[in-house]
Amino acid sequence: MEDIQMDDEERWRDLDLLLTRPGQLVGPGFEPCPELRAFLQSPDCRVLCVGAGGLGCEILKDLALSGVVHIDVIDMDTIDVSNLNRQFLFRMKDVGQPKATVAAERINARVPGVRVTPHFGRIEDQPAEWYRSFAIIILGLDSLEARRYMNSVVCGFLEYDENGQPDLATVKPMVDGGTEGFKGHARVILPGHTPCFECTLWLFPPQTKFPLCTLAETPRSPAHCIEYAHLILWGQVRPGEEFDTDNEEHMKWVYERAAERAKQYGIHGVTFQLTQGVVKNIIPAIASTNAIISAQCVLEALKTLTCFSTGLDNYMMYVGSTGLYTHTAKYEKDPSCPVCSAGVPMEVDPDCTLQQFIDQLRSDAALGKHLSAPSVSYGATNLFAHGVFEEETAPNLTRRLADLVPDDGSVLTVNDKRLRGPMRVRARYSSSMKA
Amino acid sequence: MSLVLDTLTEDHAAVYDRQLRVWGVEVQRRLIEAKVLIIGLGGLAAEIAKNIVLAGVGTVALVDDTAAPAAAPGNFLVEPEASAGKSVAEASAVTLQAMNPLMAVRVEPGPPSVSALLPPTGSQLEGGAADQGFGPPGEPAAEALRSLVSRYDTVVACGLPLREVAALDDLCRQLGKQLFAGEVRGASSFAFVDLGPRHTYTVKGNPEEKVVEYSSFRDAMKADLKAVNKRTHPLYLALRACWEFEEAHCRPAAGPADVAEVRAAVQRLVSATSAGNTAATKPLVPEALVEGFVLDRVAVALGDAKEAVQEAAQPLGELAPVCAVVGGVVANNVLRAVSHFNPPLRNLFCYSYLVRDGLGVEECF
Repeated sequence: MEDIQMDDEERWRDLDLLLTRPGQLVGPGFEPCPELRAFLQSPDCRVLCVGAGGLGCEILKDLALSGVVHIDVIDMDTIDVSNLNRQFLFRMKDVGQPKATVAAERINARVPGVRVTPHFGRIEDQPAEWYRSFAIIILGLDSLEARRYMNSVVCGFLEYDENGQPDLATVKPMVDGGTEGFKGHARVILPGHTPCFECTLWLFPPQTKFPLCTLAETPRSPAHCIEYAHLILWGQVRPGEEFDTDNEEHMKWVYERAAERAKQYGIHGVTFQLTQGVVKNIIPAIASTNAIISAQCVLEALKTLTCFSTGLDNYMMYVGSTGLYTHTAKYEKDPSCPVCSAGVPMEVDPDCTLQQFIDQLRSDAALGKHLSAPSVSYGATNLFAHGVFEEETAPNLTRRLADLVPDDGSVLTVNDKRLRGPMRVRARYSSSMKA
Repeated sequence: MSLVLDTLTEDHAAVYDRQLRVWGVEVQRRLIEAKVLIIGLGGLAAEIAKNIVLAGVGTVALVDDTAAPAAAPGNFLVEPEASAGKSVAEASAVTLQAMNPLMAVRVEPGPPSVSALLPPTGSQLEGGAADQGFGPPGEPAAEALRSLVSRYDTVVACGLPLREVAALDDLCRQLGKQLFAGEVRGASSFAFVDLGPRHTYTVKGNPEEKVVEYSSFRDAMKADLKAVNKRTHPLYLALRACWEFEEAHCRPAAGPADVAEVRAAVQRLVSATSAGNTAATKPLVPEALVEGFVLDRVAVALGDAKEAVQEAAQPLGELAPVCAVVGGVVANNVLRAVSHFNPPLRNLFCYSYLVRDGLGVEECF
């Protein structure tokens, strides 16, 4: 019965126009044929949507309406009343339920034939191998940390051949979307080809953190008063009690203390709404921006899967606050990115210390001949450096490498006065290397 | 009954919290007072409706008496199992109202068309321009449509033939109403905005009212071509060529036979532009764009020309993500237009992922 519905040509006529006709503006290697839609709808084409919130609901809708059948969605959150202004799959009666579960239910009920599988849980709790089973991953996340995590997982699959070229079979495409108010972005990440998320981390402005002395001695803004109550006063007056942003009494307490402080310093503007915004780091959000960015992401995913048009290369931003502004930029990979760049692979004992790692480098037949007194860094962080920072970094030598760098397969940069340029090494943990 | 509130209720404040942080309480109040009429519920209109309903526009009325089982595939608001016996408007209204119980979704009678406003052609005169579904039986359809539009502030109409867009625009101008008209045809899409000769708005932090003038659709379609250069989005010329075809033949271009004529019209237009006379290595308007724009309107009936003409009345070839992008842009601008806050799009939005790296572009004609 399901097969009949999926085969219904009337239903997919718009998609068939794209997949069964040749064109001048198609992607490289595009072959128009009915097998393309069949692929899109087959179990070989599993798509993962990370997040079932503002972007996630829209992404799921667009994927399902575009003919993708096997969709997984993962989200650790439950539905809140403030989600209802944009997460249109949810209703007032769903508040408190897991987002992934309800979203999957609604899409499955509305689009005949689609199979959305929900996962209520943290992205970190899924094994990396699980992510490998998807043809493409679309991110609808709301934090830098979550994006960095997904990026490291996907780039972790990447391998380079002997010529330093990415092995195409290990390239897992990922599309990342983000929104705030009237602004948003969509980008395509093809590990080894386009910059990964880590390559362009410098794009983000430093996060707002107020100096403690400002909070404690010289507040000037309502946010200073609020953070004083939240970060300083709470610990002093209610020691041992963990602050819970979902606890209304805790939030009210912070708001009242903040208001008192504001009054004391003659500062205006402390409201309960602002208190919530500052303490919970609330991102203002509306439906239309989410719709636009999610759609852009799904369009890029469809293009990556079928090549029916040339893909975004590689970052699009949208600003809709006054008028309409969009811009596409081709950002470049960071050749020494600790997450996605090529590095000489080296198998190491998962429990080895930094000193043991350095010793292994020096005694390596191929690599050792370039090294006399190597320094090792991870990205911009010195792990062990000869010279000025030697005393400061020496304690790291007895620590486990696995505790110093976040992931298996991290790219470490090795410098040595005998090397012409930095050497990059990918340390891969292997139990066969255990001492 | 006035929906003006002195303060937002607690429910409004809770549900609208995240968007109040974007545009503030005053704009939200104005949205609550607004009344928007949507004629035709295809994929694009469904997206626009979803976005403005979620944003809290006070009254949203739907017109589309097509039987729900025959709803456009892109209209995700129609629940397949629950739609028997309902019209597309009725079935869509159920879903929309559930998405936001804090505002009112209404159904008004009538077809997803304003052909009642067109001067009768030969075939129509035979059957008599009788009741086409708008208003009480016996009341001339054009009058009923006029009365319907007059009860709302803003009209959104998607997928109409361009002559109907022009006729609707004429009516809206007469009655002082705002118009948003658009369509998604496969890879390409456009939205046209007419807020009348005198639209006022303010911007954040500045109470001084600004005034801006919008062109009518007919004027936009005969704007001076010298203003078109190689930076202009090519969809404008494709649209204008289709308009000229419709005016000449009293029907939309449909099927491969018409593509040639539209292409020829595009060439004529191109040579009259600032860019047309220079020997360009790249065509100003790619052929794929014109062909797709015309053909995607009648995807199915490519074999039989007569069927193609009938099929041309329905919007076809709406790709879901394209509907979502255009739906988001149009909705944003409906919100600006009804709240008179921030300058709305003026006056043509062109989006095609076949050209310009898929950038959505605002043109003004």
